[in-house]
Amino acid sequence: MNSKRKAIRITAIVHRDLTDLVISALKRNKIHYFYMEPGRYPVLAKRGWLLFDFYQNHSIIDTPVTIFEVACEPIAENFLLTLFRDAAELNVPGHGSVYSETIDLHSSVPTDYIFTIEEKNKAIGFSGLTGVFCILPRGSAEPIARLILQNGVAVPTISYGTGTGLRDQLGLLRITIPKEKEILKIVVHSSDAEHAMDFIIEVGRLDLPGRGFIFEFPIGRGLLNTKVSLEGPKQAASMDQIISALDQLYGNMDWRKKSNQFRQSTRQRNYFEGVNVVLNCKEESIESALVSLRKVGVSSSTISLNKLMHSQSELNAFTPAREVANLLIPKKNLPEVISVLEGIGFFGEETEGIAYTMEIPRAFSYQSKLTKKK
Amino acid sequence: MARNEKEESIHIGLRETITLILPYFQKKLWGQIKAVIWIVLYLALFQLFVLRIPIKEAGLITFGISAVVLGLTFFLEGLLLGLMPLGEALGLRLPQKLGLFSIIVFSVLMGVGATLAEPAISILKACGSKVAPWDAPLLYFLLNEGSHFLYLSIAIGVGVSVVFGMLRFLFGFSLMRILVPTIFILLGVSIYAYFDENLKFISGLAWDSGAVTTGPVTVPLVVALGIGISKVAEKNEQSSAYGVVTLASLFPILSVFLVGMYFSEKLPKPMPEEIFFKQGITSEQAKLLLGDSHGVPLRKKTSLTLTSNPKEFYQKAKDNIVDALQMAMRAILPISIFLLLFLTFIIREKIPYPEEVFLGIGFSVIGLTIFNFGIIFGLNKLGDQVGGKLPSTFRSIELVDSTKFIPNFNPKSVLKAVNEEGKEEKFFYLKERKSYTGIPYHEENWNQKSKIYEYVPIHGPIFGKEDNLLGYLVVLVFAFFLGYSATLAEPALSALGNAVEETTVGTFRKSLLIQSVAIGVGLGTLLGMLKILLEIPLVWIIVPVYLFLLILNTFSKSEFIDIAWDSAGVTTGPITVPLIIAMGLGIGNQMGTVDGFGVLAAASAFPILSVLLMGMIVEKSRKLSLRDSELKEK
Repeated sequence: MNSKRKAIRITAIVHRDLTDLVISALKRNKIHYFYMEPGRYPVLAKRGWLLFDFYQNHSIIDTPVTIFEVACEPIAENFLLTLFRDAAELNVPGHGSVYSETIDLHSSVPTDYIFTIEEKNKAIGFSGLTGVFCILPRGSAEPIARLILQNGVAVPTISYGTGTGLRDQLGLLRITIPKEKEILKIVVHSSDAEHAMDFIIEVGRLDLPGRGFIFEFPIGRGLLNTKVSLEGPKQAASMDQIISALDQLYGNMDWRKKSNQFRQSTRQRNYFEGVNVVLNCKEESIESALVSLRKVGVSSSTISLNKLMHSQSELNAFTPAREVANLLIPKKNLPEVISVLEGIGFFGEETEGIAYTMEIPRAFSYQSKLTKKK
Repeated sequence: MARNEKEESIHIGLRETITLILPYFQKKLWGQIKAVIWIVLYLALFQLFVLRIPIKEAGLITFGISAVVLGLTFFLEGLLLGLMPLGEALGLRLPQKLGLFSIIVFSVLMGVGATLAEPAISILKACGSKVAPWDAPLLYFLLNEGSHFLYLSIAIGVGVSVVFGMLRFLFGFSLMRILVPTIFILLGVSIYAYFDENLKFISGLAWDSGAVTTGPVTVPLVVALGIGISKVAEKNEQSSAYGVVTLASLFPILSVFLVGMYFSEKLPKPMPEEIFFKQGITSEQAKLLLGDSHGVPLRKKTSLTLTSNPKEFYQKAKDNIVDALQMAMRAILPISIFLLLFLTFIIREKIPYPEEVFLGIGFSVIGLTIFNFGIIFGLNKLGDQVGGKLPSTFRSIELVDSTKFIPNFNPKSVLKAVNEEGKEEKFFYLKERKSYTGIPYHEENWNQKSKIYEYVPIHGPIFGKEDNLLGYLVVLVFAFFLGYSATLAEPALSALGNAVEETTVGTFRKSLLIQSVAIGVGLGTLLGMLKILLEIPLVWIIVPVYLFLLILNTFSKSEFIDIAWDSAGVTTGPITVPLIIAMGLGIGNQMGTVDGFGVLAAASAFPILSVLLMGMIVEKSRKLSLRDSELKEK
């Protein structure tokens, strides 16, 4: 099967209170399939009362968000970006972000799975952005998020996931290693990406074994949340608004470059490249697929749960409860992986699998020094 | 159960295995120590520094408390590994494979099964022996001869509520639609019962049994099932997996009332003791009330714990261990076997990670055994000691358990003294260590034959005179902190907290939930204590509180409503219940109340309040993150 097909994946991160608005907008526009996943974005809390101002380290308030994902034809990209922006008023700081990525779809999907529309829209959002995807042990996203927020780098999004890797070769002993992971995503200007990555690696000690995994992914266009703290207004406009206004004035985020704020990395890191294979299937069936993939060298992956919604439930070809696995493999291994998946019937009725990939220009993990596959 | 462990870990040497297991075990154990330490420290320090009575059998209690900690560690880990994944897997598969009818049948079976397994129900029965049949015949009947009716009604109540909960997930309607009518019916029934001579006494029991049913086995299972079902339910977009637990603690209240009403007709009305023994009841009523075996009605029971010799003690300890094991097996095994069979034969699905599930079930059994044992030997003993002596803050009480026997007592040493009113009183001096203390002399304690004088020390009132206000206040403050610190250790709450944190992706922290629930339980216990001290009818507490809750609900978000109401059912579990009841009975005995029930009902109503209020505070900051503050100010 060589049904490789280019598509666009739109990711929208929307404040929970606006979820219903977005869902109804999606349904109104006949977007049949969309994914939903809960997550949170941390915001710096207001300064404490009176003497508590002493401590400069703000406390963090977690705002619940819903992460939407829609696959669409390249032609519909602008339409969807506009749709999300209008539905959730994403130009107001604090409401959320939306961005698009290019994906290669490797499996056949129902015709309405990939949304398409003739209508042309003006391109919105900024280009030249890069996303950073980071997998951390549960609980360690918080301090990193705080530092990211305090430096004003970006507004991170955190969701929960489970990791497989070393654990699964241990047998029952695996229960001693926590599989719970946190997935932290930020979107920054491309020129900042390397520094942002370096920053997270330093703070999260990702250069130590078993601490996590990080990679950057290219983004087409994006409109980003700028709300960094709950701090009340001291000026006519809040900092978030000023930033947001300047963004729009310049039409890009170049002016926000702040590479020099980051500590220069003391040593050269061994980055590697590859493709991110995203497998999406019925909940509780990804495990068997991963077991088969281990034979071709895919040792670790991150699994998270999401919900595949369908606006007309009678026609839904998929079970709503879904599992997503992100696995990073060297590009040359991709055909092998796909053929293994086909071999075990991953795309069949039983597991309702979907697979797509995206290019990863730069990734880092402790193990990358030893082996290329990861 | 863990027999696979060695075979599978061949590649890993013993040393590596230990380096893996030790920190893991340490971490889990430390978590439990942190949870239990507060209640233990609190009880111990209160007894030592406020009541100023040394702790009896301190070594045994320490041992028991370590058992509680160890047991909790195993049990919770077992729940996470075994029962919860099973429940969730079932929840995921059920709607896909079976029709609505089968789901309903399954839900009823599971609710009933899980409840009958719940260990805390037996505590209710233990209180039954303290009720006199003439004071409250219906209450006596339900707790003694008719206790199986009580159990069954509670279990069916839970079964029905699981059905409603599952239907709610499948069709995605809001919890309030079931909650509001249920509460109104319950309040109505309670008010009706308040005016009925016989039913009046069971309303405390009914509300308490609602609180007791949802314990460490039911809650995680039901929550996990809910999480599973709500994931696959199409119509449930704002997926919330909660709300079943609260139904499971409300419906049994109703079913207990219904059973009570049924038997109320057949049983005699409350009457004075003399009439009861003189042809006050018909033989038919007597048969129903006291059973066939009881030819002779019961006498008043004397509840005196006697010190026993070591041999008896070991026998007792052995019996206790066997009991604890049996209880644990009864709680865990039937329900897990039922779930496993259902999953493999009816749904025909593989169990996810079978060896992990089996290990988990094994852990749960081991954990619950050690835990039960520890509760009997550690916490209950400590709780009873403190609870029994608590009234000494406002009244003088006899310390029966520290009775001293003075051999070769010479009555000639008795002296006379004059009290404030000029009356003569007898006393003698006792030399203990190096100091002399005056001890009042009572003729009846002096055994002329054995020449032993039995001296029961009298303690209190610690704060001023008899029945002083400060003493009562100390009791109330004690009640608050008892409820608060016991809740921190409650295993079901911890399991719910984990589930909440997981499903809300960390926006609703476990610690936040536990803290706010604990404050609520504290307040509830305080009010329950007030109920006993002032003899307020339960209705007067329940009705306004629940009405207020319903009003508060309209201002809250459904996310918080579901979690808040669920946390109410969860709060009262194997740690809180015995401690609160011990305290309730201790005070109740001093005050001469008929039934000590109702404290738990109050203790599980207030967490709803505190969680809802906390939700409002959290919500406010979330709103801030959404809105532009400037826009609002314009």
